[in-house]
Amino acid sequence: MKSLEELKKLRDESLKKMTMRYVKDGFRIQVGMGTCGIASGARPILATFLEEVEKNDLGNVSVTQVGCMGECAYEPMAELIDEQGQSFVYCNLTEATAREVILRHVMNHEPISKLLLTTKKG
Amino acid sequence: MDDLSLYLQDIIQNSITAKSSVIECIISEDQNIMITIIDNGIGMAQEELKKAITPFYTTRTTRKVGLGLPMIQMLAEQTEGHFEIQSKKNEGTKLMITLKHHHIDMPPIGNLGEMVYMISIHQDVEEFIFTYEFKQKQYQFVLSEIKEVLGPTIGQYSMMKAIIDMVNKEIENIRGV
Repeated sequence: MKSLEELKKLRDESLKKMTMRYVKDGFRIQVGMGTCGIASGARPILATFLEEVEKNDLGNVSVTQVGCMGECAYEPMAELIDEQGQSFVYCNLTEATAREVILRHVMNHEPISKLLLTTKKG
Repeated sequence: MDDLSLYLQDIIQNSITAKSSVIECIISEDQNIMITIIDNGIGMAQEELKKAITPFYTTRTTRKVGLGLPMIQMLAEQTEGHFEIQSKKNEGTKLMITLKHHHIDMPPIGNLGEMVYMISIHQDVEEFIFTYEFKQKQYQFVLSEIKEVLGPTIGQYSMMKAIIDMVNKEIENIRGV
């Protein structure tokens, strides 16, 4: 019989595979909704993403919310996982920049470096 | 936080993080606003429970602070209300918050429909039951019933607007606004 730790490892690997399989089908946008995200206005950001996805008829994009993303000072934040499973964390989002992410990154495959967290953090 | 719905969303996110399969939020409005949040998540042992309401305690690894519970406790104290948390390891957690409705420090209730929707689209939430009671009247939102009807379309913008609108109108109806 496998130990509990081994079973946990197997479970985590399966979950990872499931996520990878999922994102290969399209883009996934996860808006951070921990205390800091909620307080800094993550709700309208999520609504803007959903609105742009529907407005532009983007069937390959799913938008969801997740908990704390760990970088409170940069909220509102959203992680965009592209078709190849690559992750881009956008920070200090506004409704206008959320629209820009959809139009430029999702629709034209041009990541917006000035809005990416790694760029902000230098 | 600007309004009560944001505080509640934040607290309910804790239940999601605690791997709850069923989360229940009951708001009972009368002279006071009584809020009960019950989940069947991993819960907390007595030692953890004591630390849970201190701002610099969290079990998360993503950041070093846990402000959600202290903030709502502070809100309860500011409005001369009451805050109580009960939890059992591996059984779940129950939060009971009373806020004085007409207290000068009471924030606006905010958009409860939006709060319900934001919780509902979290991928880990299996069941979320939201109940609003006013005097003898009651409105209940049961996520599993909504999901059964909407399926994956729950994540679409038009559905978001429809759900938020529906919840807010039902609350307005029973409050007679």
